[in-house]
Amino acid sequence: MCIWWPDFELQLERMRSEALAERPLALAATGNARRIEAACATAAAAGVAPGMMISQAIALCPDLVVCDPDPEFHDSALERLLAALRDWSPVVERSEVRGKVFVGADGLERLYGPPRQQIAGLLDRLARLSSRFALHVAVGHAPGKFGAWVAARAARTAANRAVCVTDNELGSFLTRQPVDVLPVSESMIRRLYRLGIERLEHLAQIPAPALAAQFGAEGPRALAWALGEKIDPVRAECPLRPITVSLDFPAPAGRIEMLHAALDLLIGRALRHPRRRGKSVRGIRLSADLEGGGSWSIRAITREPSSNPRQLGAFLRSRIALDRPQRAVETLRLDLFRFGPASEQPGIFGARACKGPRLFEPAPAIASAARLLRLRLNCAALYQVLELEPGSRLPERRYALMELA
Amino acid sequence: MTEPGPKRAVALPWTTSAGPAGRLPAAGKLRSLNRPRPVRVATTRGTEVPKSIEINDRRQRVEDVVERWRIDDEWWREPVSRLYFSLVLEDGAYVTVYRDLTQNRWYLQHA
Repeated sequence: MCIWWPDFELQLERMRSEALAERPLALAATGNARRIEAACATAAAAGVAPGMMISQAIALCPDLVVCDPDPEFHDSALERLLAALRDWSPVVERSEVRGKVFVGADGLERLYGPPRQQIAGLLDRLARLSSRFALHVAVGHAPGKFGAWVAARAARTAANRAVCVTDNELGSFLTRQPVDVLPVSESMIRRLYRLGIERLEHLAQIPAPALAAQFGAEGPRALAWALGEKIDPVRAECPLRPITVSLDFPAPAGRIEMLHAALDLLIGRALRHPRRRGKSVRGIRLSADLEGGGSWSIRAITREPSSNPRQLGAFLRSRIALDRPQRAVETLRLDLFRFGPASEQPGIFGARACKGPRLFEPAPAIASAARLLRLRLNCAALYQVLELEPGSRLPERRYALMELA
Repeated sequence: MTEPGPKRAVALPWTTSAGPAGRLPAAGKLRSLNRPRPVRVATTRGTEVPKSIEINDRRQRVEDVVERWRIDDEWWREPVSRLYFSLVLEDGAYVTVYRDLTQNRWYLQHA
């Protein structure tokens, strides 16, 4: 089952302030560039679109109210919703979009009745949380996450805001849908439209090899989605138990140097936490309560797991440079929410400045291991790939293997 | 159909010798990666377009020719002249083959 709140953040802003109920509303994007992230239907009708500069949006729609991003508030509202949904079903999975959640409903018939009854019960539960949540939701009940999402999308315009699709109906239901529901790249969707393939029924008529020829591996995958052959089950999320450390400033901190110093302090404290021992860090969230209300946050996954405070500090500083808090910070909070293996993998090769093909020197431990293996096996055992002429028209000229010694 | 012959050694400026494909280089030597492998290809009569291809003793029909291009290079020493075809096979796999126009032989290579 897919529970979808279109314009989730905007609905939350309307809940927060009744004065915004009838006004055209937009949400500013996080980051230093002042752009629109989402716009309500009234604002969209006036020409306001995501990605547009705020000044341009106000010129198009003078009554527009632009809300500052408040990820803390939006995330905490989502957590409340997830908690309510977890009371209903043990299998709840959030998606990459904040207002879209998948709920596993397999085996719940005996508890809650047939799908229609399940949806009614769930909406009652949401209404108890907030009437606006139940009012602006779209629910899709179908086999698999993709089917449920397409059903929820169709439910947005349905009278009772819910669409149920059974196993037998899935194939015929999907064929009536536009191709832009497919979970494929935007470029593939654009090409499909350009080729005149607008609905999944048109796509379903094309043989898989022809799609593979046009779109590569994405083509047959899209066909499997379109025919309802691929069912992706909802997976229960492991509850996150992040390590959280925070720092309250005696006076709101507006200077970036002060934030950097506080950040270093927080990283040190978080890394010394007993639960972090034996693990490196992969996922970090830095958030702040801002002066005069509102919040700011950045969430980042490191490319390489690390437990080096200097590396993590540099990584977060670069992210802050891209998206600075708009006002002075009262409280700074750091969450480590994803972890990697304990050992840090050192780089095998270090770059050596030289002319001609790029050569790399192996780390001393690797070079010593290579020598020992060579002695033991009496032949070369470790090789490295060298970049020779990466731009050559002859593919065999581009890279070569060289013995590591 | 043309029969594959022994592989033509392409001398690289950085190699002391071009060893056979699949064997690792001896100490102090380089071996180019992605070396062409001989392959049996059947072409459509009267054209140079591949009709079927035999990989690992399994003959597969060519479903579609995605792209073709020609490379002519190094005319000043040992000329290289190749006609490449990017193909989709009946099992959906992508392969790239070329016809060596100087030897009239077919090779398989990741382009």
